[in-house]
Amino acid sequence: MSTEKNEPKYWTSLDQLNGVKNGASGDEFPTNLVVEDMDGPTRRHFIGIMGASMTMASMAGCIRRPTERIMPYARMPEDVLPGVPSKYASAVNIGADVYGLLVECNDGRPTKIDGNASHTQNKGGTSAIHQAMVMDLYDPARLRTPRNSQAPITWEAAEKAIAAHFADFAGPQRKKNPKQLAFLSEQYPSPTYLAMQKRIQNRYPGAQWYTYEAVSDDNEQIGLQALFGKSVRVLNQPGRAHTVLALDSDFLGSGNNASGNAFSWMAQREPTTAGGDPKMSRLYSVEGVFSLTGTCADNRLRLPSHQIEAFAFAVADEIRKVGTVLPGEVTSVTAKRMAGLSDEAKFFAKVVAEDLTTTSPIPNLASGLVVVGRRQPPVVHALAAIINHALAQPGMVTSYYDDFSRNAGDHGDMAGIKALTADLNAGKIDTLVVVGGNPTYTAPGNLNFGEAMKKAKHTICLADFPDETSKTATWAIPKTHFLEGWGDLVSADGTLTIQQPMIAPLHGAWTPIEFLARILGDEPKPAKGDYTYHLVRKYWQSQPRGQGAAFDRQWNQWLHDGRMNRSLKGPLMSTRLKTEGFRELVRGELKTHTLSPTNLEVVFVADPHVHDGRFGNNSLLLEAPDPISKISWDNAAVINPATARALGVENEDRVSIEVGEANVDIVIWVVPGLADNLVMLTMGYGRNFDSYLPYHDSGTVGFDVNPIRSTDTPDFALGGRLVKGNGKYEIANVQDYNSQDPDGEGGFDSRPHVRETTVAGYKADPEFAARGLIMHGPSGGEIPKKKNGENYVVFHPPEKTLHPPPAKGAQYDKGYQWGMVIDLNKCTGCNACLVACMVENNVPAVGKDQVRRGREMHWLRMDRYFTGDEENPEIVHQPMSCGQCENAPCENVCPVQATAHSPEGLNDMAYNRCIGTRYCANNCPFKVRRFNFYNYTNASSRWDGVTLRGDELVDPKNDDELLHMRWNPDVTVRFRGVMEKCTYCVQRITRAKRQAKMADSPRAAKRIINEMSMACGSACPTGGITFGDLNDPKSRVSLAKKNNRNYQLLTELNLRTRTSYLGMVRNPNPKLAKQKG
Amino acid sequence: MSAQSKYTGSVFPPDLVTGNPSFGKVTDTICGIVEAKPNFTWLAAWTLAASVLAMLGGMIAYLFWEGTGIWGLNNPVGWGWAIVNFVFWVGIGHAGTLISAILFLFRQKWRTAINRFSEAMTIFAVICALVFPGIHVGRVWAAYWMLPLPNQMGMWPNFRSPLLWDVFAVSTYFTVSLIFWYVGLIPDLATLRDRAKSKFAYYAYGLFAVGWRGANRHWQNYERAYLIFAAIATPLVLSVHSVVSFDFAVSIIPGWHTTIFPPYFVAGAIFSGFAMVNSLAVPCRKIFGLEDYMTVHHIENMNKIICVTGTMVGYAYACEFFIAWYSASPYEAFAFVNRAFGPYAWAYWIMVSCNVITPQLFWFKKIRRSMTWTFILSIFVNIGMWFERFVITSSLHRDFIPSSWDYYSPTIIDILTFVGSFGLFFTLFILFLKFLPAIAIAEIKGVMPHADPHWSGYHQHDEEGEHHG
Repeated sequence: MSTEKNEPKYWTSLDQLNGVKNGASGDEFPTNLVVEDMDGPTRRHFIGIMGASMTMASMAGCIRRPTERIMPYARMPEDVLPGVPSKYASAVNIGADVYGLLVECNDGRPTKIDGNASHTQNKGGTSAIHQAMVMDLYDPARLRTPRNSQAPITWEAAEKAIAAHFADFAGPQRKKNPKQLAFLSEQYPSPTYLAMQKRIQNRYPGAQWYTYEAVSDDNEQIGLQALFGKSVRVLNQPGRAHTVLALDSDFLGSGNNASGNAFSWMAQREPTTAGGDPKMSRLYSVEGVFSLTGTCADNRLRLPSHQIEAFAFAVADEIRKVGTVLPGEVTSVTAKRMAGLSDEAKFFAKVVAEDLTTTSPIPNLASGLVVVGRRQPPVVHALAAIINHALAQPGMVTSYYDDFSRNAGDHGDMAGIKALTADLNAGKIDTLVVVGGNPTYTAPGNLNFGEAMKKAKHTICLADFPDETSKTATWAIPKTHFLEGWGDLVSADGTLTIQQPMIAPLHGAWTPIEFLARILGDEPKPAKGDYTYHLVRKYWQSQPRGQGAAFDRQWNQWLHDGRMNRSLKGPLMSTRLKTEGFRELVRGELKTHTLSPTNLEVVFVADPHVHDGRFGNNSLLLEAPDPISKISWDNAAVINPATARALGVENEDRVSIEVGEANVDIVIWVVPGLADNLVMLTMGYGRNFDSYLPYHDSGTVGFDVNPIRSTDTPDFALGGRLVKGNGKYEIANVQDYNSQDPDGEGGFDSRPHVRETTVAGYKADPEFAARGLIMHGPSGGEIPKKKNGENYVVFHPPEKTLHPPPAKGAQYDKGYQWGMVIDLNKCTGCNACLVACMVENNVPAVGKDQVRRGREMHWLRMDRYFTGDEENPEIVHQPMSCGQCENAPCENVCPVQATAHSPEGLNDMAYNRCIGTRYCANNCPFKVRRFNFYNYTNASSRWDGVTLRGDELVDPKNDDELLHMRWNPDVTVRFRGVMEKCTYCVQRITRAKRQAKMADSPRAAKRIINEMSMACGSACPTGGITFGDLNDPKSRVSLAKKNNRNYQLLTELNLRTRTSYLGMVRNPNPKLAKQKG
Repeated sequence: MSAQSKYTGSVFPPDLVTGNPSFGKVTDTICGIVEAKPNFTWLAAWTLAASVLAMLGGMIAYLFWEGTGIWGLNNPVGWGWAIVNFVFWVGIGHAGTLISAILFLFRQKWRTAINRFSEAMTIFAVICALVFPGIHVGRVWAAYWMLPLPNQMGMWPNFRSPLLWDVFAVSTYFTVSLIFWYVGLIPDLATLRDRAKSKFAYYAYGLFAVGWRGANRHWQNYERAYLIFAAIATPLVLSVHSVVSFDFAVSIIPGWHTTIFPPYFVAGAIFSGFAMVNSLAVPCRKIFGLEDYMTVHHIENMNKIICVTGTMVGYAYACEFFIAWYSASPYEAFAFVNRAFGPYAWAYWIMVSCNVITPQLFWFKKIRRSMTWTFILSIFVNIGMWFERFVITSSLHRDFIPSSWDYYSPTIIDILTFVGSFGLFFTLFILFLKFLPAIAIAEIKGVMPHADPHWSGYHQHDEEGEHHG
């Protein structure tokens, strides 16, 4: 304004100064201005504001706000944008089972784990365990400092002590009796680690090396070794076979490579109508317990574990009868080995054998495949290999690979730990080094390993937790979480992944590789950089083609892709099995046992969540209910109703299970569908260690069953007895009602939430799901009528509504419209989605007591229903979370509009606005809304008399911060008193929309939107959960909705849910249905 | 002619005030209760009630500190005892305004002996009721967001939510009931002022008597105001519990989603309200010697209403079952079968026995005129009506998807909070009995024969009748 410098400018108002004509100085009645904003408050407005301010001011004092601290970057790392998560490829192993992963990091903190889709084995799938692993990283109960006889010591002291100790070992006086050194390791299929192991054995000659896994592959290893003459691993592609026979195998649920198997198998569980009648593959399951694979089976035979061998021989016999050539070693013993099998089982074997040998009606599929579970003896594994070989499968249905997971000459799990215990007891071992694992807890009870370990003069443990083993050790060294340290892992098919750390060790820790290097003591620590990184890189540089400038590029590529671009070694091409080895396996008489209530078969099962107990302090996994029994926070002795009646026990009864001299006290839970007179015990519970476990203060979780496992019968034992104990033990079960037919009468009030038919039923009525047909009866056959002969009620279409659907071109036809489809045919019930949702959305675990009160917070729950008769039921699973109803009953009842519909069709929830009347939850027909009854997210709130029992060196106040590091920063952490719910991972949607908006082309934008998946969907190993934009007719979700199996729940309420389900189709063999009559 | 002697036959209604007291005697008796020094019984009763109230305070403080988790609520059952108690107390709060407003409009003169008393009960019951929605929310410190308060964030309540209708319905009802009660109190407060012996009482009663001098103009205005308030209050009696029933009826939950709820709730509310009046009146008339004012005839009349409304409630129960069957909705049918035979069958049958069977005893004249029977049966009805709300609320435990079904049981905190609400009620009620006239003195005089312009006075032997001319 003031262009003339010398002339002072005077002004009376800012308006004048700026030359703006306004208000009184200009137009008296301006029409183009927002009067209220420019003129300041009117009198009325002023009073309104003052009134509100005074109310607010008086209320402000009452509002509790959590203290917040900010931790800014002092120095900004390269390539990291605050608020933008980065993903890194890595891998993790549980035993020999290796999974390729993608880890999401927010501001340097790993917060979410997903599968790496480009990994050859799991193909992007994960299990509940993988999803929850990130919790273990931040677990305050971890071992945080080295300890000498329990007393915390500094790292320098530990380093010096270990160096000195082993320098002494390398000294001349020890060389006379080198056997004094023994190593006991977890399985860690890492080439660098295994190479290091070899070097240790060279440096300390005579040092014994044992590998022990409680959930062992011994049987398979021994069986296959007999046929191949060397240690091999088997990898199946069940999806490439038409008929799969699972012998006591949970290959879809918890066996090795379960996610990869499930991915492969479920990929073709769509009734294909190409070329006439609908066809589908078929799964037979023969098992004593009820596994997830059993729930997915088209036909399932209940058979105690010890009879599976006889059944396998019966199948071999039937296969031979239809003309398949089997080696003489098998045929000569078949008749003897299959004695004692019931007629029902024999008939089942006959039908299965026919199916296995019949050419697949679906093109490009092999006829059959037999898979065997871990618990079965070596002979069954070998027999299955021979049968699979004889079935002449095209296209690599079964492939064998050299075993990369152990060094040659490994003793095997059971033999190894047995030999080690004998040496320890004989006082031969001076120093025992335990590299990971918790053998004191997991070793079979008859070894009494904990006591034996004390006989070694020195025990040095690399341990995750101050657990049973490391607490009795003379030296305990903290072990890195897999997200904290470098490493390399090779999966069964020879695919190598370099394990990348996402974060520096939180409390200081050594990787197993570094631990061995320090024991070796001859590997200089680099002046700069990570020790393990140096060691791993050095190992791969020493490999062929490891030299030169190309290595750096290759290395970076490996890191980026999460796998080496080629397999270490391809599958074995050998076409001849050394069947003479089979003879070795069938030595000894097969005793025929008659099970009875006083002579039970006791089966030991790896827990689907805590495995052998190593995840026993992970509250997400403990709270996730068992997929079959739906028990949360405990394990139980599971028996079927007939056995329970015979023994006179019921749910929650305390009992004692005795095998031989040993016994365990445990609680009973009755689950239909197990074999008669069989007790299923899950391993991994009843840990005795100073747990952290927020909200769980009762000391132990569940019951330890290892005392009655013995080295001879680690998998199942015969001659078990059940003795009724006194009183009850309270179990937290998340699903009390197991049927969709509450009064058991069928018909009138039997509810069509899961809609299921057979392939025959699908042929008869491809629209069965949309028509709301009620579940079919036991395996196969037609859709049965009601008991009184009437047809099932077909629910009528929605009534005329006062709120008609929006007209075409209105509301829900614009922009993005999100929707989801859940394919029940692809659901194994594995809980990966449930746990993934908890991790992604900061859903807290609430503890056993709260689950007992029905307050679990799972936004996505896994419903499980039994169908058919009580004796031999089938199980269906149904993942259930908010359906995002377009006419949402929750929305209109909220007095404060805390839940409202977004223009994109989400039923959104404003936590800040929610006052917690819980009316929305009451009015939700799916009961998927979850209320925060307490301040669950604040571990130190001690709302339930919880005392924190972390490491005594650490101020418990910091434990909170540690736990809070796991929160996903994109999702609000909810305070107590608000309603929570699934909003389709709205944070992911927003991120994708943001990226799409910035994309280079509309095409790229569309790709971003189409590739987006929700936490549940990306965790699902079978791709059963499809998400996307309904307005895009070509999106995956739109295509899925066009499937004729698509149906919505509770359509009669006119909810217009955005999540729909694809009805389930099973393919039972009609011959077996007929036999049942 | 003597009015009394004329109306002794069974064709005519019995006297509303027995014992033929003079106006002065009426005033002395009723004011005497207020003016007497508090005796030991009163102090003991009040101390007990106040201690229970203190316990309620403790329970609420604990609730605010720890969160709603201390109650037995769970995922399918998001509303438990708090809402049951709310509806229970609101229901009880119905009788007072019904008696004072509707019966007034219908010229039911027998209401005068009990209206003051039951209006006080109404107000205290509504106060008890209002406690629960306030404290049951998860974030109590934000509960005021239910009110349409202007604020800079532009937050506004959701007018489609029945809970918001509740806020308006109950608060309106409370306000109108309170003002109505107060207006009725003014002449009596003036009486107390005029009789006051202490300065404090004189000024305290005088303040609230707002200068009442009993002038003709005052009486005219008073009568007009009272009539207007009665007219305003009458629809509220019907609306408030209808709106409370919308909390359930507007939802889609089987067992809740029923159009019969509004009339059924109103009938139930009157039923429970009258039962509560009887529960209180029977001992009070005895203790304070008010048998001449609250006569057996009054109690009998209320018992008749209890009998009628109890039968209506029973009809509603039966009708629900019929509609559940007639609707052919399996969810609806199951909800009702489950009520009668499911895990909460015990509660259902307690409700039926107390609410449907018990009041049928009032068909017998002996029973409905017996004070002992009346008292016992009124307690039964109170229990039954509490259970009615419990049965309705606990329908949540089994709705559409069987996997989410669960069982709800209260914790000790739930129970003590409910007991504590009686402490609140009785603390207020016992204070009321001591400091305000329990019977409307001015009104009851109006229904005595003395108020009749043709009353022949105390000359019992006057044959002429028109003697006073």
